[in-house]
Amino acid sequence: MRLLLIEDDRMIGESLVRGLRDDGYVVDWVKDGAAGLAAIQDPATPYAIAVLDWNLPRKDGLTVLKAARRAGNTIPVLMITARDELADRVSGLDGGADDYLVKPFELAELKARLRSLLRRRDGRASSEVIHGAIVLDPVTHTVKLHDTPVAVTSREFALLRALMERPGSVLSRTQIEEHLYGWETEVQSNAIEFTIHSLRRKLGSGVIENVRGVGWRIGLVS
Amino acid sequence: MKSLRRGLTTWLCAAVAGVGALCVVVGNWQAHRETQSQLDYQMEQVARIVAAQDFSARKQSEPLDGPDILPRVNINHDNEDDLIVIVRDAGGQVVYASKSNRHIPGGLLPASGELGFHIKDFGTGQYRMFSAQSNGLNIEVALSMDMISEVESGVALATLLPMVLLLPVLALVIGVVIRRHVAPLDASAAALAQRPPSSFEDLPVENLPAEVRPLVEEINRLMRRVETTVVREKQFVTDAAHALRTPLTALQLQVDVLDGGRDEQEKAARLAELRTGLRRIIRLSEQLLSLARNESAAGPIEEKTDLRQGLDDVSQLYADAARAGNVRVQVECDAPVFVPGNPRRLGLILGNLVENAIRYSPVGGAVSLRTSVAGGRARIEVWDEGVGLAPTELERVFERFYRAPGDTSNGSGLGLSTVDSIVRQLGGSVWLENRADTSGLIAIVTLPVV
Repeated sequence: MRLLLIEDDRMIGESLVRGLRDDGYVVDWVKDGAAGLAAIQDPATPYAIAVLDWNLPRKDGLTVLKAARRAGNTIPVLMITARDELADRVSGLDGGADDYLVKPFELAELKARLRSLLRRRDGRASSEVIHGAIVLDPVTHTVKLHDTPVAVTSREFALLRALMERPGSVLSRTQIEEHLYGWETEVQSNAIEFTIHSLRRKLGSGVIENVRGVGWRIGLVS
Repeated sequence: MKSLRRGLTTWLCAAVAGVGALCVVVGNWQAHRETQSQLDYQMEQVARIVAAQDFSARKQSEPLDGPDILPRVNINHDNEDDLIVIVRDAGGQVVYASKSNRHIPGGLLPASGELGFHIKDFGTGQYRMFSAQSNGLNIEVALSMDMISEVESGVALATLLPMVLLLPVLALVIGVVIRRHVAPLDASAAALAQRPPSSFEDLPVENLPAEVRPLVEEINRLMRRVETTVVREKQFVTDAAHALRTPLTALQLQVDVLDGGRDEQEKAARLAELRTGLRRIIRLSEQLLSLARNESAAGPIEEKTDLRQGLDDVSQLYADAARAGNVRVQVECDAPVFVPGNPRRLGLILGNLVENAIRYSPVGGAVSLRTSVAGGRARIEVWDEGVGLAPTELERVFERFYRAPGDTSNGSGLGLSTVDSIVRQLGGSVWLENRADTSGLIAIVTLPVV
């Protein structure tokens, strides 16, 4: 799950990156409004969700958001800000924010709100992603097969989630890499295959199907 | 507590009562004198008229008090208030006696043997008498002293009664007038008592008496000053609470991610972040405190501090920070220079500027502190080799909590506004300039030399 963080405070940014990575998000962090807008609008990096600070150097958060919405960008955006006046909250939400969180806040609440936004985006009733006998829970970060917990690494979890959220579609290597790695990460050539192999070993060989020359999709699990 | 209204009413009424009492005394005395002289005049006139009569023509058979003898004087009736008149010839024989002689024991006024006005007692009371001799006749006129007192009382009462009756009216008028004039004061007090503590509107002065107006105007001026202070402090508290939000959020998140992290190295890194976050918030609260203290401090600055000592202290205080950033700090100050303020204040000025200079210096950069004295003013310059500031930012960075765009340091945005506040109080000024020789900033402070 790739997430764009636009936040100018170094300490808040670092902690958010750490906390969100712990939860399996792939976080890209930019520190000013102009860079934030460029990143949101970059077609090469399809972010699942964005966390946007209001007070930003070079371009404030609301301007960034309005510009992205005008360009037809529908990415779910959670705004974080120290402004707690009603008028600010209203203009933030009307400006295109999907949710609004006032500083200071706790990480748990930010994560819950992100999950809620993702659920709404996918039209799901619960946070759990279910495919056949596999249940993936983003809250507890666990995978269950026939109600039995299966231990997975965060990379395995992210790959499985990317495939399970789009049942029937085939994801290419590049698409999967974009879901799994941020800007700073060097991607090793056989890393995807290695992760898929590990998942097949834990959940059964049919869990991921290979479509030769195109990519992978989630398979039937009995 | 002294009451203006009660005091005025009491004292004015007392004065009126006092004057009234004095009037009664003086009036009585006056009535007595007036009546006396009036009656004396009357007695003398009667004696004169009687003397002008011809008693020789009177027949022996006629009664002594023949009605036609004194036709023009109202003394021939048998009233108690009548004058008593008696006329004797040289031989002591009564030739005329008014009817009123019967009030005297013995029926006839005895010869007094004195001339002029005098007082005699005939056993039934005192009489005022006038005796005169004319053409061999002894004429005596008498009037009862009781009568005289009665007349006196009547006169006195006639004069004093209206005044006595008017005194309560006067007191009432005084009370009403005072009440009416004090009413605007009561209204002001009531208006003041009813207003909420957050209200600083002026009290109305239009209907106030000229003597009270300056007082209320002064209260209004005081209220405006208090309002300015309250607004400023409210703003400060709001700003401070707002400024605390970001570091507090960082702290909250740093705590939240503390139990994550897979290896020891990651855990240690997260703990270190938390410590840095705590230091930031402590530093911010210290700066808020020193700013608030400085804002509330007022009055003349009597202390003075050696600038060179202050520079040495600051460069030692920040030696560690400079070493950590591999920044050289040089102090150029030849002779002792004394500037106003205590060492703590000078330390805040120099400390904030040096801290900024070190913070924005590149690794291996140099910070130099230079001083000079000209025209009775000391000039302190702090030079750094950072990136400088956009010309539009040079003044804005002195605003409270303002941080220049792209500033990713952990500054609070309070340092320069604290410096500005202190320098102003010490009678100096502070500003920033970009360096012309290379990139970097010069912070310049001028202070009067004492």
